[in-house]
Amino acid sequence: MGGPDILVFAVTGMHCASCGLLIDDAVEELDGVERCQTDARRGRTVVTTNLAVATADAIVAAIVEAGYQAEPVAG
Amino acid sequence: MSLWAVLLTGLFAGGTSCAAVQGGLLAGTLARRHPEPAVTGPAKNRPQRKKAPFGPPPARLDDAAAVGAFLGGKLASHALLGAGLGLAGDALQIAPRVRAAMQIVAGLVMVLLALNLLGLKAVRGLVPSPPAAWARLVRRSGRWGGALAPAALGVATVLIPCGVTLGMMFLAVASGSPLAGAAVMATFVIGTMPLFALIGYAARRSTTYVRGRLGPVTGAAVLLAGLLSINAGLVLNGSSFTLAGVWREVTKATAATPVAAPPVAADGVQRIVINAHPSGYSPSSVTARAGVPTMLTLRTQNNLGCTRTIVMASFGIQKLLPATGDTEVDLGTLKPGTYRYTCGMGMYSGSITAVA
Repeated sequence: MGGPDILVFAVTGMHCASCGLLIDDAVEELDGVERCQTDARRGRTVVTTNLAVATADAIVAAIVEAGYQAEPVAG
Repeated sequence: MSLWAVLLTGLFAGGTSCAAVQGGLLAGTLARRHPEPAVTGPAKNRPQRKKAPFGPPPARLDDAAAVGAFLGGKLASHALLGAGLGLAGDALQIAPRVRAAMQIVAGLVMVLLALNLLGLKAVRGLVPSPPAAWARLVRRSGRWGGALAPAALGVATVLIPCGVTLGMMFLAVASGSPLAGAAVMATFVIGTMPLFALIGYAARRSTTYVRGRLGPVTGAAVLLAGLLSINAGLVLNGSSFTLAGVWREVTKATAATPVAAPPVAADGVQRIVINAHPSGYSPSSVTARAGVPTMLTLRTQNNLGCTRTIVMASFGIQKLLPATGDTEVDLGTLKPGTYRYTCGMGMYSGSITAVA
């Protein structure tokens, strides 16, 4: 059914563009995630994912494991 | 701001930031070169990872070489950028006072960055950030599978400066010379290296905890660097409202006793001699006669320190002295008042007081 899902997360704890790249690396390592783009200045991470494989909780856990705090927000 | 201050900023602020964050990026690059078979014990209801980017570092000698390549690439690209920024500052430089103003502006920008790092949302929109395309380029360089990937990643980090690095970039512009600009950026990167090598690589797992908490630490360091830069600009400008001046007021410390005015020679000229040592100027305070033509001799002997560059903003004079030798400067006929001068880094200063 349909294409991939797009989820948006509010992320805190970032202090530079490298933090954003680190989060993108960590999230894109998850199966089911097609793409992850983090805007460090706005504190937003946009993830294109297959929710049947990589859920919002799993993505939050990956961001937390990378050292930051995240929660889903309405796109 | 002296190179020592730049080195310490790199060591404590830049080092922590780079170690925790760029260390993670490098770890991902290394893990891609040597993928591990599986991740043990994935959390329940979590998808499997495609790879293990942040696993414990495999004990490989070539990984140590990779860290060296990363740092080497980073040092080269930042030194080159510093040279370019110094060149831009040189092109912009009109007079010593303009240079002092640039240093103050650099400090104000650093304060702005610091406030953002400390969580003041009102300034978020004012803080410059690199274009998304540059970040993508950095990611691509790290994902490149070749042996040169760590070096390429190191070079590419110049495209995504953190707040502390941005502050150093402004200082490189304010330095007003390609050599000094390269020295500022290279010294900063060298300062980041020890912590990077110790924390960012060897114990990269443990840095996950500190990554999200770096904002306040980095912000405090950038704030300090910004205030030091503003102070250096004020010193360069010959202002008496500097940290040293405030300190003297607070502690009621007396300034160095000025050396008496030199005799006026038969030709009607008074000649003042100031020695520029690597550790300062002597005498640091000289009295002169107002209304008398004045020649200043700046004397150096085996001096390779920053006091070789002397800025006398009141006279619009900026000179690079030879390592050894005398440099004559015609100050004209002095009006009563205090004329301050400083080294090119705003670190050492002195004054000539003309009295009627």
